[in-house]
This record gives sequence, structure tokens and C-alpha cells, in this order.
Amino acid sequence: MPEPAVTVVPAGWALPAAGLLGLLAVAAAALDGFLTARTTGTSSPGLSQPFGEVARLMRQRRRTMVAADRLLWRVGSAGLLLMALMIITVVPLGRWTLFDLDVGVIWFNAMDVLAWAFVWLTGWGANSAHSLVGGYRFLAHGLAYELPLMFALVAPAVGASSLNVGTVAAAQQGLWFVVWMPVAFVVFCLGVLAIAVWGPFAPALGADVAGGVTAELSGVDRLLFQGGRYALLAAGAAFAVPMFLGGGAGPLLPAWAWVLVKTLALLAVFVWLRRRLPVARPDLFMEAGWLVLLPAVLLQDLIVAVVAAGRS
Amino acid sequence: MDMAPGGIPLASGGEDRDGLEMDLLHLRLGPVLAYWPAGLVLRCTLQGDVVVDAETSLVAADNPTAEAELRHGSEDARRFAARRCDNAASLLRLAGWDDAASRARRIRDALLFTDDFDGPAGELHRLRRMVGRSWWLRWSLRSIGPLDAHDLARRGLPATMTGDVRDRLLGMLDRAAHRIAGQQPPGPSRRVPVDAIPDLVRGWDLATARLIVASLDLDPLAGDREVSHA
Repeated sequence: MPEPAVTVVPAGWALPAAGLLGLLAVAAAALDGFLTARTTGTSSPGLSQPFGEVARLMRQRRRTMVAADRLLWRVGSAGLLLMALMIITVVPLGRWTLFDLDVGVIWFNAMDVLAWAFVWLTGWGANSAHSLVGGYRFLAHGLAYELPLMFALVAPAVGASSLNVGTVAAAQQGLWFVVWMPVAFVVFCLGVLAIAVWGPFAPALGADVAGGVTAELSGVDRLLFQGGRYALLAAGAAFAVPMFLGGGAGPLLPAWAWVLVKTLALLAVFVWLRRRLPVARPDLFMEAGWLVLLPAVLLQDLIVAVVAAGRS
Repeated sequence: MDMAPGGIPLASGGEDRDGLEMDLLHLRLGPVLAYWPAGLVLRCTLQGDVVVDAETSLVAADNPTAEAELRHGSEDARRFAARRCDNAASLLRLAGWDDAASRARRIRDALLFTDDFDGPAGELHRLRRMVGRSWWLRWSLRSIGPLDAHDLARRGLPATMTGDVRDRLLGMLDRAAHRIAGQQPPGPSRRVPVDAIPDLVRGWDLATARLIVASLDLDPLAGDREVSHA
């Protein structure tokens, strides 16, 4: 029986973990505000932007639409935050984890698929043409990113011969998976951007469809949806750390601090990318997803499988 | 069965391009919409998100103040270049490239609110190079709304509209740069008749249709005054 890679902490630590995720999400929103203010040349530095936005949305009255499907609409807009919280339960913070699941990698996959339902339901619930068009755009992206994302998760699992996230992190002593699985890492990052409806994958919220899925969202619902997107970016970056970036491995600092440093660095790259790239239109990205990403990531899996078989 | 849930009548059906029956949705774009030429109204008939039919009209087409501003605008190099930058910013924003859109907007502001010409000219040159080099944008906008010389002549569109959306975007930036450098735009008129727009957007999806309209580089309320404003 191998020694467990991580220690499970009592369930009460779930609250601090959620708070940490919230802090990461706020940091991401503040960075986005800062970068936006810098390129648009406004005089304020933009760092306080998320706080102003939260205050504004908390006070805003909820609008509704004729014949809106309120239940599903609200389930959808609150769902992204829930997904992010569920994802971080299996991410070890150094030695500690909330939930040492044997199939943690599959858990992440199960959670990220929920985005399909939640984003689409948010588009559907409002009973508005623009929202619904936005929802279907997300599904079109989903058809292109989901399979490459699944196969990208296969690579580290095969490399470590385990689906346990802590074991995958422990298997990277000496050589991080990102070094010899770069394709899987890039595809995983694209998948995280996509489930957070972020950057090149934001046509579902595009200005060309008047905000798409978010066109009719207001008040708390909008706050939960937008906060959920930032939280998903943060959770995705945090999950990449044990999967590809060596977990808590690093000199000087304790393991938990390295996890946070790596998460913040990757999160900053995600946020920075948003303004740098035009959108990947869903109809075009379908081609890229199936003809480029999927074969590339399958080839990556093959290489990893051959190396893993050769070692054992 | 309730034929009007929530007071909204059910959609009527129509044959789609594959010969299947599909719901028709009527959606009006404009006259006031972000990143949209102000005053233009496009009544679209959608099947899914594909524009199967459209008709255009203008609000306040014979509003004297708009007319006066337009005449003034066409004579002033500064305003001409600023309008091109504004239109380019809208198109870039619709294409989802926020950084480039912000730059175009700042050049527009510099042209309108400062006396300096060299600063914006240099910035415009850098923006033109950045947009021209972006392979991602080229991939994203490739072969949207292509128009050749024959199409242009048939629809009464100016020769500057040739190519696809990306070509027209680069054309906008080039026209602004040339005008700042003191050159007159080629040709007597580059007015775009709004009657030609329905033909250009028919068969494209909503997002692409908006990119195409933005790529036409319209002046506010411009177009042939004779257009039917129903």
C-alpha cells in the first residue's frame, strides 16, 4: 500500500477554501480592471473596478422578461460559481486536500461538462433572442473544445498511472508534466478559458449579440454569473498546478505557497490573454478543434502512453 | 393550446435553406445599438441565428442637423479620419479584439480633441501594422462577406469595398492614414447606399452580419437620401 500523497483536512476547511477561491477571483477581476484601464487610458488605475461593480450589482433591481423561465435561468447563472467550488475540493493545497478522491481527474471532467448546461440555461431562461443565440454559440464551442479537453486530462493521468490528483502531483518529482506534455497543457488551458467563457471563447457573451447569454442578466444574477466566470478561471488555473506544474514542488517556499504562486501566475496569463486575442468564432473554431487540437492531443496521449509503458 | 404564451404569439414557420420547416423570428437591429451605425434600422427575419431576410430603413433621414454635420464632416480631414477610426474600433470590438479597439478609440479621441497630428499618425501606423500582422484576426475574419468588382458595380457600392471584411478593415485604417497625411480620398463619392445592405447580410449568421455591416464604414445616417424610410 503506497503512502497517501496528501492529507485530508476536516470538512470545516471548506469555508476557508471557498474564501481563498473568492480572493483569487477578486484578484483576477482587479487585474482585468487594471489592464482595461491601462489600454483605454482612463485616469483611474482600475484596480477598484471589481468592488465598484459588486456594489453596483448588489443594489441593482432584478429585471425580468416576459415569460422568462426563472427557475432554470437562476440555476444557470448561479451554476458557474458552484462548478468552481466543486473543482477546488479535489485540488491539493500543498499537502492538504478537502477531498482525496481516487478519481479526482474524472471529477474535474464531470464538473467542467456542467458548463454546457449552466451557460446554455442562462441563455435559455431569459426568453430573449440574443441570449438564446449566445447560449447556442457556447454549445458550438463546447462541441469543439470538450473532447480535446478530455484527452488533455488523460495525458497526466497516464503519465502518473493514477486518477488521484495528489498522486499525479507527486509523480512529477524532478520533471513537471508541462515539460514533456506541452500540447496537453495548452489544450487544457484552452479548455479552462472556454468553460469560463473567457477571451477567445467569449462569443457567447459577444458585443455583437448585445451581451449574448448575459444580455438580460441583472443584479445578483449577473454578479453570480460574472463572479462564477472569474472563479472558474481561478479554479482551472489551480487544477493545472497539480496536473502539469508539479503541484507544490519548488525551492525555499513551503508547498502550499508554491501552489498559490503558480496558480496566480497562470491566472494572470489567462486574464491578460483576454484583451490580446480576437475571438475564435464558433463556426471556425469547430474546424480548429476537430482537425488540429484533437489529433494533436491524441498524438500527445500516444507518446505519453508509450513512455509510461516503457518505464513500467 | 395557448397560442400566445405571455402575450407573445408563437413564431410562424418557413422553409429554411435546406428545405426544412423552421420557425421564423423577427428581430430589429438598430437604430440605437452599441457598435452599430446610429440611425440605421435593419429588420431581420431569422431562422435560428441565420438572417434569411432583411430590410433596411433610416430614422430621421431628413433631419437637417444630421445633414449639416455630415457636410461639415466630409470637408474636414480630422473628422473624416476620426470617423474611420471610430468605425474601425467598432469592427475590432465586434471581432472581440479589445486591445486593438481601445487603441483605435484613443486615436479617434486624439484626432478630435488635440491639435497634434503627428502623435495620432504614428499611432495609426502602428495600429495598421498590428492589425495587418495578426494571423488570428486573418483566420477569424477570412472570407466573410466577400465582394468583387462585379458585385460592387451591380449594387452601386464604392470601389473601396472590395475584398472581405478584413480587407475593408485595413482599408478604413489606410484611408484615415492617407487623409491625415493630406491626401484626398480617391473617387468623388464613397457613399454606401443602405438599400444594398440586406443583400449583403442575407444568408449569414447574426454575428457575421454585424461584422459585415460594421465593415461598410458608414457615416452616421449616411447613405442615399432617396432611400425609402418607411
